[in-house]
Amino acid sequence: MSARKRRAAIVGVYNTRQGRRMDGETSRSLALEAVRGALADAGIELACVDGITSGALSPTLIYDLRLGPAWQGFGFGLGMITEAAAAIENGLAEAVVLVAAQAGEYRDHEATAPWTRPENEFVASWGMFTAAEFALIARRHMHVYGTTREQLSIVAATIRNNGARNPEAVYYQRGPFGSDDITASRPIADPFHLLDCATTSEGGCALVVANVEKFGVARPPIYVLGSGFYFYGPSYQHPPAWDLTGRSGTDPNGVVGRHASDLAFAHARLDRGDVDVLELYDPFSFEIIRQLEAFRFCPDGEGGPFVADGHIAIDGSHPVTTDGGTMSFSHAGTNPQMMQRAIRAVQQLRGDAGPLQVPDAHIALCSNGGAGALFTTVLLLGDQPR
Amino acid sequence: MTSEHILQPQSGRLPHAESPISASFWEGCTKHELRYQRCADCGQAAFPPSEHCRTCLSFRLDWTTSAGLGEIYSWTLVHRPVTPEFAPPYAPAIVTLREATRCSPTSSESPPTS
Repeated sequence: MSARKRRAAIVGVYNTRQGRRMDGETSRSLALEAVRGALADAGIELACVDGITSGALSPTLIYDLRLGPAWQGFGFGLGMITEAAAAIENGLAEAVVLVAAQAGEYRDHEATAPWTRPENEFVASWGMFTAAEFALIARRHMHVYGTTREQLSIVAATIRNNGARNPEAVYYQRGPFGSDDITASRPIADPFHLLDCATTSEGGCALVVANVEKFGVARPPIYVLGSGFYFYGPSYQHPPAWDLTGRSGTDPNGVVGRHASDLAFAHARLDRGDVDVLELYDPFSFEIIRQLEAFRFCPDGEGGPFVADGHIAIDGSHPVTTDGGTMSFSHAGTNPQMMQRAIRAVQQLRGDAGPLQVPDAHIALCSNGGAGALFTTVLLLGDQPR
Repeated sequence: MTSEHILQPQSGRLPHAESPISASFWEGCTKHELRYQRCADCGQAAFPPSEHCRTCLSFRLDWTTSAGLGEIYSWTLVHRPVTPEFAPPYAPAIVTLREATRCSPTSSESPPTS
């Protein structure tokens, strides 16, 4: 048990409608809808909010919502949640809204999304973009461990079939897919085909993290039990080598996220076997195989056979990415898609996941990032403070 | 599809160096030379170009020219057009240069080249 009872918890979550194009919406309109939705879910009034975290939008939201003086977060993705919880545990804030949205900013679906191909002279000059970055990681794993094309397809089909059953997913009812359907889609960057890759879409989302000793909340609180955030460098500027190491010489980039997960489990005093559902970040099919190894759910090199044996299916021992993830649910902008892994975990731990509910889900692991981006972050959530 | 087809040179213009640190690399490209930096103190190769050695933090980095031989570490084959400068299919790769491995106990990655 913790020395002191946890007070900070996720008490509200909200996804706006997600879509390939959200005509008539802007990032700000979706952000506002998400703020109101998450506060309504939490049963907390806007007047009680004393903290905002929304990346570069935070100062604007503090002004436009007239929340000043407000605590302002600086985190990104899952890190926003740990940062907000720490602020509350340390008395810096009582109720923090975390929000992200994107609409109308990136409409050119003929080109790959602009945030995936930075204008760095040592990126553009090689014709590199995100799919190629992650492909270089996947190809190395296939070369070293014999991971197969079929195993990648099993991952993509599993996640896309979750999305096909999720009424909130952009690609609801698009499916079911067999692994052959994934392999038959057009090639993008070998070994990846179109259906191995995230979609691009628009949408918004928000969470509320609050002091549950101060607020009588409307829904069961979900607690941050452990987390870890570790990086090898800037995303998409250096060759994404599996064997990239820092001067400590430990854990190469290929297993980035291992240190984060080790710390998260140690803080939570939980074992891998305690996890009921894994809301893993799924930019490309192979990344799921890699994360299962990096987080020690299976031995190194055995992620391919592990997914082929059915472990990651919705009714398997390690159900992953149960909303359909960035492949099928939504992949909006840089940040909503990160936060939405935690929103889905909250839905699972509350029992709100409908046809995709994992029975008796009490502990969820969420992730962001990937070896192709030189970072991976981990968040462990639970329905009890422990 | 033959390797000659995949590996044909791309015809897009060379980028301008974004800072003086990388100028020598791009100047080398115009002369069909693959240039990289090597630390005069510890011998470690450095790429992308840097102000200091990423191993010993020395500022004494010297430009040198690779013989252009190495081992493919990983590769991909891009089928989708990404920017107007590249005509698919093309094959970005991570190559471990022969000179880099000889001088260092760990592999050092050259730029992915098409």
